[in-house]
Amino acid sequence: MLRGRRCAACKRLWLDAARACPACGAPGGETVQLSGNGRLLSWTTIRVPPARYAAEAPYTVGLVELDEGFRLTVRLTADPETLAPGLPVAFASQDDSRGPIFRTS
Amino acid sequence: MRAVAIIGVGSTPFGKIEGQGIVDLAVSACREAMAETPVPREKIQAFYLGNFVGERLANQGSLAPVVAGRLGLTGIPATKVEGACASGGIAFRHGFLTIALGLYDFVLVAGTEKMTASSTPEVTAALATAGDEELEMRTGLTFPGAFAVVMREHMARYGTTREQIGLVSVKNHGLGAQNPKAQFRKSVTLEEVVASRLIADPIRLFDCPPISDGAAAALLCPAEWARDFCPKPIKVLGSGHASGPAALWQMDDITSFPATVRAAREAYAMAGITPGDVQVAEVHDCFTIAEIIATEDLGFFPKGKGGPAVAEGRTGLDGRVAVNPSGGLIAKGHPVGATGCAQVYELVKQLRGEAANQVQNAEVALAHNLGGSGVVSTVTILGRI
Repeated sequence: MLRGRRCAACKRLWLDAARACPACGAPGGETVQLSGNGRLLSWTTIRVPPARYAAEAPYTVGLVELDEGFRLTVRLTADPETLAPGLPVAFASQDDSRGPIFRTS
Repeated sequence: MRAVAIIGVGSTPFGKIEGQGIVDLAVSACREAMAETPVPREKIQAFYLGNFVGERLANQGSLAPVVAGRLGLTGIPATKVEGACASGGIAFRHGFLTIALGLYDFVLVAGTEKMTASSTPEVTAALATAGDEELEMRTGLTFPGAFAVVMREHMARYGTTREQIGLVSVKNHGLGAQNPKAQFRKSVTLEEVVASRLIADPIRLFDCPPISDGAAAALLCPAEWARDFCPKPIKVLGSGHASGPAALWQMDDITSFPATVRAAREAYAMAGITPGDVQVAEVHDCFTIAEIIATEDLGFFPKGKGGPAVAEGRTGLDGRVAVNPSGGLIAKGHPVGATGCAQVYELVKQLRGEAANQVQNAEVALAHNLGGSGVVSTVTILGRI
């Protein structure tokens, strides 16, 4: 499951991994379960990768907005030809190195 | 604050420079700047050096004192400044501040980078360190990728076309072809730009700058003394420096960089001018779409009108504001830590009337340097004394 954190000070919601609030800098807050559902805002297919992911290219990275109202940059498992702005996407799995992996839904 | 002037500038050619390391390049640019004035070396009180990936790609730390040593300046404070691809602009800003605030009288600033000895995956990974590793770059996003995400959004929101964006590359390559310091000395057609190899969809090869070696430098002193040391001194009218979010997902609007907007506001206020007063600008075209966004964030054109402005020739050499007459990062080259000082070099040449692609009667010039996808920016406004 994808977890978020609601800032104790400004009440904004972020991905749990953000730790201190990226908007106001306050630490702490309450961990909340996220739906993992959202929509695609924009994306790219990386054809010239950094050295550590050389074997994986081409791969797609997307900017998504979760239903809870905040954004994430994620690795997206999808055929890039099928992507369009506003397309529904969903959390698929958590990767220790690459972060949350999303798919089209 | 005291008014500050530039009394000497220097720049290596940009490109694949065989047989010269990161220190050699910096020394060459600094010597050229110092040779432009009769200021004795003993008068120089501090050195600020912009550099981003020298430790990683050139295996050189302690870069500023090492370069100072080769220049015979050992003993003075020598500081490396790192702010991703804005490192050179920040180094210039620090030199400006120390004189403006009365701490020093003569300060040398420079930027340097050596990149062509490394492979493209190594360079891509080194540049990606400008982003937020834990919260974004670990996904495998790259900087061409980040600006590709931005480009798609700019096209969707404002109707900016692939052709308008490609015309930035056509313009800048055309200008670079006439600049003897530029890495690319050849024009390209729009057809070649839009058919070039995809790097990170929709960004293609000719939307990107090359991997470059190079260095640039400037010598600064109080404006009131400048004529004693230089026949054509150039005054720093305004300087701005700001930070912004490191990650795309932190931005409410990815088609505008708040660090640029804030740095520009500070610089315009200090100079007492408006965007309409600027006749020539070197802006941070790390990708074609970045030039369009810069011309909007700097206030040259309304939001979303940067694309049509390029197509209408309003950013050409004889346009409303000449943008990147040097050829910009895309054609002149982008040795990342050097770029901010190289922009100042070009604009000093413009204001002296000595540029390769001279803008007629240029009196007010603006340099815009950007790090990452907007994590830091500097804006410097220059004018004739």
